[in-house]
Amino acid sequence: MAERVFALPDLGEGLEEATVNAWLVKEGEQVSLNQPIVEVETAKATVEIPSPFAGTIAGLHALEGETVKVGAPLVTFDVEGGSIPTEEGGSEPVEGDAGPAAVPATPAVRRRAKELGVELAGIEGSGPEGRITHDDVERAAGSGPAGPGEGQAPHAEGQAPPAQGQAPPAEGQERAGARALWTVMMPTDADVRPISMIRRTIGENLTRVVREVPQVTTFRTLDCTSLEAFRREAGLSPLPIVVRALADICAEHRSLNASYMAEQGQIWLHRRVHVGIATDSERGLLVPVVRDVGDRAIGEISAEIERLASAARDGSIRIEEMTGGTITVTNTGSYGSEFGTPIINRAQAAILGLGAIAPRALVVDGQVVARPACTLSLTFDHRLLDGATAGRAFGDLVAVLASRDRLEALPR
Amino acid sequence: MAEYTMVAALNAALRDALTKDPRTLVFGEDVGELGGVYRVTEGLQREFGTERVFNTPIAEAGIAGICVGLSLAGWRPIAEMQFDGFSYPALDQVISHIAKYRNRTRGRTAMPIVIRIPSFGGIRGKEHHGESPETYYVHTAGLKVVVPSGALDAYRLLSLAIADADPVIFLEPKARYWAKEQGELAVDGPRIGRAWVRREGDACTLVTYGAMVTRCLEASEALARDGISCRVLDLRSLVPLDLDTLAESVRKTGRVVVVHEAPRTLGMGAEIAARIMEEGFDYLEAPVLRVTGYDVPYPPAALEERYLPSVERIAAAVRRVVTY
Amino acid sequence: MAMHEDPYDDAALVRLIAPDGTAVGDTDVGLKPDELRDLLRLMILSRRLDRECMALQRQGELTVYPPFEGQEAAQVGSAFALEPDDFVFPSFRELAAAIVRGVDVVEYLQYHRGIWHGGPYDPLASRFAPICVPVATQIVHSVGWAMGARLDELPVCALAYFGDGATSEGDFHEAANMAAVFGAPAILFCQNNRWAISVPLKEQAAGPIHRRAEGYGMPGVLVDGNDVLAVYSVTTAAAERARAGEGPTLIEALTYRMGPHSTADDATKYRSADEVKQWRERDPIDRYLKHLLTSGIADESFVADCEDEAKEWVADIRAGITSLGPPPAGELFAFAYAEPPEPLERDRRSATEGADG
Repeated sequence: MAERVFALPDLGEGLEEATVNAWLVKEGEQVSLNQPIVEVETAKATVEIPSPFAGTIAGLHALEGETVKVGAPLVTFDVEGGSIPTEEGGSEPVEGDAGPAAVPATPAVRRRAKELGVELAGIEGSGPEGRITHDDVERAAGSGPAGPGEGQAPHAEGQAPPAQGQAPPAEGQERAGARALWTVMMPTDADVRPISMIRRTIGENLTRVVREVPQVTTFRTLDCTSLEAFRREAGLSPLPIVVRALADICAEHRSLNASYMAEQGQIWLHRRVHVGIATDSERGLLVPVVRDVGDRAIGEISAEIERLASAARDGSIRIEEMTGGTITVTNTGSYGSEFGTPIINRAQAAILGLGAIAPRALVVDGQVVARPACTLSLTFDHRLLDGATAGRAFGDLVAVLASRDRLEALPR
Repeated sequence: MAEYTMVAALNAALRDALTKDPRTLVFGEDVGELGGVYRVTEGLQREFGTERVFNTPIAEAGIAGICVGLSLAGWRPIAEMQFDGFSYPALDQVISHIAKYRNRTRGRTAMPIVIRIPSFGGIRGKEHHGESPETYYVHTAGLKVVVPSGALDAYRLLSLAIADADPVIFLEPKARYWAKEQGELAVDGPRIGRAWVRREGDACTLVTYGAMVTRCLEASEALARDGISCRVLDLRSLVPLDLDTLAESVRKTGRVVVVHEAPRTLGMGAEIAARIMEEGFDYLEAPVLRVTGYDVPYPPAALEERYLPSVERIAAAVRRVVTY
Repeated sequence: MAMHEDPYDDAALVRLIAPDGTAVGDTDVGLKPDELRDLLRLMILSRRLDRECMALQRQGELTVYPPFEGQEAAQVGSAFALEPDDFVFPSFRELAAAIVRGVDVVEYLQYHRGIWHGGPYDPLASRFAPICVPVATQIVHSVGWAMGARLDELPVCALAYFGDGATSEGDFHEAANMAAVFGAPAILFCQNNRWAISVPLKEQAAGPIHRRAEGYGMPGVLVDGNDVLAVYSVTTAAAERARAGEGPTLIEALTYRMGPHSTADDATKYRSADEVKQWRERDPIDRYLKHLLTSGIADESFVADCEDEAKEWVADIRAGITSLGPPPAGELFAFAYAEPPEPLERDRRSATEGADG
């Protein structure tokens, strides 16, 4: 015997639902094929539905008077024989493309610029309405950053070199000369790899942030004695502790947890702290976000960081889990870095870098002692914070992390 | 050197088809003894008899519909709609059946039908005698749409259309019916689906078909005097569209102007502009411009020349893209 | 006859068996006893299948189904009169005719399961054109086919089925006119079942349909569409005329659509139960059954055998049709053209190979 579920069919070309007027059978009743089992009323008519199977009524899934949607289960039958496996359709993911910047240039000029490795954004257009022309691009190629020239392209392993002769013929000796110079300077012996979508997107985002945001990094040394003792006792790693402490600092120093919205002319001080955790994955750098850190205990944060990191690594992480961060922490110590100059994430005010915790020679009470220590690096948006405000916030953070009492006070 | 008008060339194509393939039939209103209102079928009934070349009652839907039945019975119908503006009653049979029958029967039946329609304007005709109905047919999947521009190619295209296993809507530019060309009639040459470069050039490509080919050539002459050299591309078939030659033209010239009589909105210009964007976006030096009829009902003779793309309008569009 | 009187009482009506089963004309229509029994058997099978198809739709196995109950005699009687090489051009309600012509029913029903327009049966092999929904357009096709057959001097005829509603369409007129002008060997078979969805005959046509034939220059015949022998008889005569080169015939068969227009329609909204009851008393199977029993051509056990056969046959069809799923996605492109245009080919390649267009 097998169970078969009969769903309400579309009885009249595009109907969405029907109301059960009367059941003509009971649960447990034996029915034959085509025996009327229910009377339903649709927008168009009252219809009797004949049984699609011979068997026993195992379950009726609606009450008399209830409205059922087309496709919703109506009756479950126990029938002879096995059940037929249902087909699952898959949908194909659609890949979007990152849009180019809004710079006025015809498609052909863009192509030329790409070939010459010239950034259109930096060029002033001499064409009508400020449009960038071929000449503008050629000129920029003569004085811009190095890029692949024509003629000698690097050969890839097992790949044909990029097609020759794509660029229009050179106009003017001077331009030809400049191009030749760059061709000579460019090394031509390289293994060529295409730039992946994700790498291209990360690159474009970073470039834009670096270009648009005046950011400064400040450093502090943290004596990790208390931190190490605390964390070992609590059975935790340093990262979730730092993240939790940071949330309290953000509550007090709100410009650390803010966005400088230049176009709108506004500063947004975020009410909640959602911390992005810079995570390495096969595809590249991902930044999953732990939400509402200020409301969570360290243990919870630790578990969440684990879960997100795992999802990032196996590729199951969702876009929603990587958006909405208000500040970011990057645990560069995990691969041995002592300190660095991390780059802020778009629309955030700051990013905190956690360096490797290792024994150092510190001066305590006038004596040089060996203590576990690390360097914290805080890069901040200098439009939102200046040295003093950043310094105060930073100092408060260090004070918490260096104090056993303050650490104990954090919700675990 | 022989000389042919398009009418004579079409007539020859029909004659040759009727001779070579005993399963071809030619029918329509007035195509029998009269030889058609444009004489395209002149002499055919006399030569091939009333069973193979015959008049029909005035029943366009009927004319198109019997093509379906005749195809099922193993015949190759070549039907005539007397004028573009009178082809509309047949649209149901063309769209609902001729275009769909093969698909509906999973390839077990064929509709090797040609519907010839004297079309387009430029003849100072009455109302309904200057329509450009090509887009309706191009938009109907299952059909092919062919438009000759001159006599010699008309012979080739009609011969190929008749031999085609798919249904072909064959739109004949009336304005070119009496224009003469010198040369030999031959089927050898570019197939249906291949555009023809009528004039070579590198500054801009004029994409067009039918009677507008001549106007584009004229415009090109004028522009050449100013040092602007145009490529003129005669599409010849709107379905299938020759994407390769379109792409190559964009790569070569970077500039395209589409010219057609049909009203602007959703005319072939819209389709070609989209295809060019898809095929050759990176090579565009300027937007694709369209020089077309206006979105108004086809005008009376007195206003016809204000409506149709003139040589001046065409040249002006080329100048705009060349100096963009 | 006056307009809007019941044409069922028209004196010109050809009828051999009255609704009560008694013979009122010469019932020797040139068929042998086993053929006469076969007519009953085919009607019984058709009706059983028709009811099963209604059930299948209510069970979600068919998308929409237009029942033909009540019209069995009109379809079976006429289709039975045709020769194997004749060609039938149906509308969308001619499943009974399809059964008689030997069309594979599971293939036919794939139209109603939404698997393939026209169902995947081979129309040339079945001599049965695909289901045609645009009203009356198939009549023109039948005339074209008949003209083609005549050119080949084949002793065949075409038969187009259409309803009373179709006679209002321009295509009916153009087809009838062309058929007569060209002397096409076509039978224009109108099943006047009194209703075009919810529009009754009197709102569809003011004059008798069969008498339009005179206007076109061809014979018109009015027949009791629920009398299978009468239908057989007039269709045979029309086919003979056609084959003999005497041209087309318009047959108007009076019958009744006992069910709704389709499973998406509720006929109780626009017609009376009384009217339906009245036509139940004119049922084609009941009267013919009575006639065969009284004349001793068939007995009760034959009828029981037919019903058993119908039950099994329908169960097979149910099993066949309910097991079918959608066709492979590539078939979206496979049959649109003999030689697909290159732009379409590119779309097909990218759609079926998963690459971006």
